[in-house]
Amino acid sequence: MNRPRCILHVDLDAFFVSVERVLNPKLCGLPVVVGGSPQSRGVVAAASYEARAFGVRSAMPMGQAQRLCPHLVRISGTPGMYGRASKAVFSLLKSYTPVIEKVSIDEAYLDFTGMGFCFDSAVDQADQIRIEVKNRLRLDITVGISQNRLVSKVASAFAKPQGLFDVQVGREARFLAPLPLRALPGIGPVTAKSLEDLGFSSLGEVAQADAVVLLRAFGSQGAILKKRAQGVDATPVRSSGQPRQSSSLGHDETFFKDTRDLSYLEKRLQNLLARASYRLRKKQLLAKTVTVKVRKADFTSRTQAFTLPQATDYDVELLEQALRILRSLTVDRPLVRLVGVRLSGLTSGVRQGTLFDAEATRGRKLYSVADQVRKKYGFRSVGEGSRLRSNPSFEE
Amino acid sequence: MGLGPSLSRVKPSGKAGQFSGKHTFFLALSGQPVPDVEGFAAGDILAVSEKVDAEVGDLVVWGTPSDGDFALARVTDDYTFVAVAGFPSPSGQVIGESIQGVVVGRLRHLDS
Repeated sequence: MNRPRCILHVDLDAFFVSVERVLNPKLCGLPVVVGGSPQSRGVVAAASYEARAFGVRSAMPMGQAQRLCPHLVRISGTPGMYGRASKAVFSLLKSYTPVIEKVSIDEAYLDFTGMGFCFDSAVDQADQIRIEVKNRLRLDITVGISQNRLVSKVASAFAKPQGLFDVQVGREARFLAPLPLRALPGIGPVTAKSLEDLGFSSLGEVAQADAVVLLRAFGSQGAILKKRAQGVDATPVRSSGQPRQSSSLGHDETFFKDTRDLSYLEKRLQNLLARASYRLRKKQLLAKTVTVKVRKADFTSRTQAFTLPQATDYDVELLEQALRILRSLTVDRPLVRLVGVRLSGLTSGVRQGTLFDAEATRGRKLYSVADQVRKKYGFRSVGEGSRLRSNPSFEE
Repeated sequence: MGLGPSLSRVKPSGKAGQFSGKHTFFLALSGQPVPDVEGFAAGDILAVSEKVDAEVGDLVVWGTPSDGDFALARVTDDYTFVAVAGFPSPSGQVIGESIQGVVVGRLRHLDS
């Protein structure tokens, strides 16, 4: 293969829609979305490329999607089926390399480094994977190939749908150079706006930017931004079971009806945080930073984060700061559409108390028992007493 | 370029097509490319970056676009050019002036 590293980014095309089309081929060629009904303020979870041609996008309110595309076909979705289809795809991918990192239900990185003795060409190998997934599971995938994860992910986005893009070895920066700022993972709307304000419009311009300019604007992240715009990324592909150190996890909830009721928002946030913390403990991770997001009825969003002195997986330890942030974000009593919480700064481990920290030991036992019940009967089976008392119709 | 492989300008379908013309153009490979270490196949679409200087190791597109004649060559360590995939051997005297861009990647679609 003649590459120091050979990383494939595999992305299933419009996954939920594709699965629905396998179940019902009559949907092929139609503008289809999977998502909740507009009456229940549902959002688009996945959109077919025919629907995207009308401007329909993931996470868009369903009502807006239907206005953009009046003959849109909406399907509520079959979550269990997506999990089974995903499992089948990943089982097939694992037959090609043992080093595979699943990053979501429809996305993975495969490391083919050092496997040149097995395969003549990474492109031919990727082609074979695409054809096998298509023939055996009737699903389309797009593959990006390069020396690192970052560029492979951009390459797969570039090749969508049903494509494969192989970036020439050592030409990563040149591939990225003409692309718009938002093409690079990690550059969201806020960073893009800041870069545009500085006069940058393409990744090539950021790659060649004066380091001092980026340092002033983004602090230490400026240097990282420049490196990434140059297509430099040494992040390894971690096989399943090796948790990523720098990822995050979280939950959000769109309300059936917009609300200004702070006590209701606090209860929902508490519930979301309990869910996120439960996932932390299941994955044996600790979080150091909690971020709260509030989306107002006019779709503008506010977020604020707080970093704890010590990483934890106890929601009670995160809750105090989360509630403080929520109150700060809603001090002007806005009409709120959505509230969310995200935990980041993740490290492997479990919360340990000191030898004399009886409270921490009790907490660990309590969470352990509650989590065992949740594992057996579902998350909704256990709630905190205060929450149950304040919400008799607790039916999560 | 005669018999063998040939390259012609295309606008690819899908997301890549959105970048056509923005310092990047695309060439579809057709005919019968000769198998070599590059592994090119008919149907491959090459993404070519314009306005960049060719460096050692680059795969370059050279030729005369007005005639629709394009060919591929690899820049070697001593700055000579080696033909690839069965394209005609370039003449060291003229290739520098006729370089149209540097290949940054190869696109394949499932139906190609």
